[in-house]
Amino acid sequence: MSLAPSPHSSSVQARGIGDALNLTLRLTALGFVSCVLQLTLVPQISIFGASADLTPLVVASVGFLAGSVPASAFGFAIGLFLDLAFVQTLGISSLLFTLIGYSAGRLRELRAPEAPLTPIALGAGATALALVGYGVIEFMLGVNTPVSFSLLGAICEVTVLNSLIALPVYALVRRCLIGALPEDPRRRTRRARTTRLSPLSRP
Amino acid sequence: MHDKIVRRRRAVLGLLVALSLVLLSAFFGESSAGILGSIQSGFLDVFSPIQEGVTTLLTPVHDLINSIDDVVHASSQRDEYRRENRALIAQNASLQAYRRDYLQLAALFKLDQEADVSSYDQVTAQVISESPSVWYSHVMIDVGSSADVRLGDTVVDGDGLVGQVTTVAHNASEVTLITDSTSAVAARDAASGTWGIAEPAVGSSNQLLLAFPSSQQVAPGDLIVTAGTTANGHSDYPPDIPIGHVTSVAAANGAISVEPNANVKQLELVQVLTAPRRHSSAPPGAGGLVPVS
Repeated sequence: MSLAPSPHSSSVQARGIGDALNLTLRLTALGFVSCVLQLTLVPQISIFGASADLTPLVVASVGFLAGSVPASAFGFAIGLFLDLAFVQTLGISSLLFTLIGYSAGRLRELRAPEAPLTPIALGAGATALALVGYGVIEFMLGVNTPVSFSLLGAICEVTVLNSLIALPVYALVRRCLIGALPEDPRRRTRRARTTRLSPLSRP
Repeated sequence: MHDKIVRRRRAVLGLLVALSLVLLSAFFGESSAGILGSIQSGFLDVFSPIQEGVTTLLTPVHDLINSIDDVVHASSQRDEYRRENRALIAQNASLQAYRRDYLQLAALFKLDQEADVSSYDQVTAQVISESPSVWYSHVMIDVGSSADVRLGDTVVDGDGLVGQVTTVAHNASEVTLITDSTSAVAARDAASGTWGIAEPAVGSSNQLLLAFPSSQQVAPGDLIVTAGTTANGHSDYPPDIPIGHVTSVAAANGAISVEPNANVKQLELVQVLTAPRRHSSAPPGAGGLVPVS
């Protein structure tokens, strides 16, 4: 009896490593482009007096598409990048985006919502969590955060604006990652339901 | 297998959160010249040129989006400027009206000085309605007996004689214009002093005919003024108020045409000469405004 791995299992393992590498490369490129856009172009575009915040949307979209583990790592990396680039307190954005990515990934893994407007709610939630969370952590760290109604208004404006652009951002992220995603959540859900409902699957 | 995935997932999350907290704590614990600060400044040194280059590359995109934003704002700015323009037009109209009033009042004042009507009280009035007919023979003014306006008072504007008060109410009066078919004014040629009667030309709402004893002493362009007297005595009109200018003298029948100085079709501000009252017992035909029978 031979203990050597079969050619089939070797190819499966190799394909898995290739997929992971492919996803990592794509996420790296996506994260870099998102950060660069967030640093250069997006703040200069004012819509209804507010500027959008791409990064929470991208992190949440990645979490919803790729799962919690890649998304939390992606969120951490993006947060660190932004903290370094904006010369702000290191670790805050990393922590928040890690949690955002992980939460979005867990939502996909546990619920797999199929509603077409899910990305909008996801984007709104991610944006609100990022903005409010940043203020709360700064406050807890003793930084004099100017909490006022105008700040709350600005948070609401950015959240609404991000909700409006959440769907196209999600579509773009999906298009970037479509070839490297572990599994399409909708396809997985449909198959699971079919299996569960089929009389052939009953004992 | 499932437990392994769960453990791995939790481990990754815990590791990343812990790393974030370590970064946070370390960043707060060290001075600005610490390791993390150096990493941050080094990152900036590396990333700044990239950021600058990307910003330059994306300038057309930025300009395009901003141009859209500008168009949106241009729309609102256009609306704002339109509102402002409407307000300015209204303000300008008001100022023009004030200016016109001022010019008319200045002309009235000048006329008062020139005609020497200082012995009369001058009541300035606004024309509130005009005769609806094409003849423009009557106008209503907004002063009446409450302002001491009485029947027969002379009405002038900045250009000259307008007419005479023929109906008086408490706060309004009717003025019969010199172009009304029932009126006639004792007049004289300011140059030659020839005396006569000025009355409306038949068929014309803006022409007077002078009935002078001799047309030979009148020439086109002569100024015709009120005479102040008639053959029967005093005229209701003060003397030397401009009536109009001679426009033509007919060689055949000696008919003298006069164009009134006052534009009776566009009266706005007029002045009523209210005092002193004279010859209250004089018959109407002896006054300056002679009903034509």
